Amino acid sequence: MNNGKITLAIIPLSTCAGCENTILDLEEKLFFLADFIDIVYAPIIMDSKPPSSVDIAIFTGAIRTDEDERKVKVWRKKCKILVALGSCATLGGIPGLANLTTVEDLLKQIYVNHPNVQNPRGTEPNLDIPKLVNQVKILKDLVKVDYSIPGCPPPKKLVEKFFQAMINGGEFKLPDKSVCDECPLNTGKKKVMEKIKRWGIDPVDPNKCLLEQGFLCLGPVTRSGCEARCIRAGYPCRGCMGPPKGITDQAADMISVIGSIVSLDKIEVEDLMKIKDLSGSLYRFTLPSSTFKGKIRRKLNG
Amino acid sequence: MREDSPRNRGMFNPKIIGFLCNWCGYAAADLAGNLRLNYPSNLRIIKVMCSGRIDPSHILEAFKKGADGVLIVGCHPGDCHYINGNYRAKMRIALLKKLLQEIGLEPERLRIDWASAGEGERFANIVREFFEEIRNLGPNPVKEECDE
Ligand code: SF4
Ligand code: SF4
Ligand code: SF4
Ligand code: FES
Repeated sequence: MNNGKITLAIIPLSTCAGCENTILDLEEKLFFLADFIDIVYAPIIMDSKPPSSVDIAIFTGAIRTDEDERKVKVWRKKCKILVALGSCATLGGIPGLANLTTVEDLLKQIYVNHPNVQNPRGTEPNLDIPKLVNQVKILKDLVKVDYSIPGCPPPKKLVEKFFQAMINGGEFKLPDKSVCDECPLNTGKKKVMEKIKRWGIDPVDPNKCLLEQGFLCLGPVTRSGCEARCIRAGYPCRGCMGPPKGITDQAADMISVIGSIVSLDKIEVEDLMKIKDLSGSLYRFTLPSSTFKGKIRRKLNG
Repeated sequence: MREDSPRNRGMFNPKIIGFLCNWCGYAAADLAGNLRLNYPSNLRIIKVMCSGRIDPSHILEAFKKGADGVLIVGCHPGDCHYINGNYRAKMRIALLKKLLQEIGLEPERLRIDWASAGEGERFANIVREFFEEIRNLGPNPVKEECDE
């Protein structure tokens, strides 16, 4: 507490700063919050020295480096309430897709094999900077997390509700229906999928459920709370809110949904096999929090 | 000779989970038992009402907990007691195999097949064949990976 105000730190891990932007996007509501909350540390937004303790520490971004891991563990001791904000911190997010490969292969690809790179000696940078970790983890796997707010970026409304709960001492809970429940294209009737289509290639009917048209829309297996903002903007849901409560594996659940809705007269197994990049599409934001947490790698020689 | 007899110890002894539908797969296993047909005792059977009720996440969970293979046996196409549960299962398993391949687990560790209530012999053959296949593949690497 600071003059009776709640002290808040917003700590960036491997972040794109989109989550910080969501907080800034609260605009005039920030002035209201400022009466109750003191942002004492937020390096992405402003320059200040890290305090020795805070009431609330919000983390944004993924645990992609050894330094990120260290930060999370240190701040857990310095804060009363620890919050994971955004898909990266709660579910692994886009950086979590790195778990499909290894740091070694990744660096080779970027610094040696990339078609735009000329590096005949195959040198890789050797700087004294935090090291990438081989397995992106979610905060929950490292420390106790008091609140999680997923979304890439997280929906403004949820962030606002969270702050209100902290100020009023109320409860904060994530909505746990599915994106379909908030979707304007949902007819409520049982879905039937008669074709498999590819986004960006096949034409789209803006007035019909995208999944029924044959596009991979992850609405049925994704937590509500974003008001189906992508579908309202003309895009399928890519699952950034992660699975609703009770479901651990978004990909497995989506496979189950596809099995339930495909038209058995019009779709064959061969059609389904044409879906490209299943792991990347169905685990886009959740790979480090999925059943296997990433690609299964074998140790050489047993 | 039983596959898990002391003589065979030291060899890899796979754990296989079998999801069998109540009406056909399980009935076939029952018949195989009554006929005293010989098949590897490595199969741990979980009875489900229909192959269409098997959730892909249960299969992933089985692999995570250390199953070396997962076998699903339902009714023959057209014979499902819930009309088309087995067709839906077939679709799901095909997709799940593709996903497994992408995330680094041999899709051959997962198999779906059919046997009617009268096909005890066919059921025993499926299990024998699958057992051999899994034994050739070796232990499931997932368990070790997840323990780290
Ligand atoms: S959740 Fe999205 S917006 Fe937030 S840091 Fe990660 S990538 Fe950026
Ligand atoms: S599947 Fe997608 S488009 Fe269809 S109702 Fe659900 S969220 Fe909307
Ligand atoms: S529609 Fe899907 S991808 Fe878009 S914000 Fe909502 S949960 Fe995220
Ligand atoms: S009842 Fe046997 S597969 Fe459906």
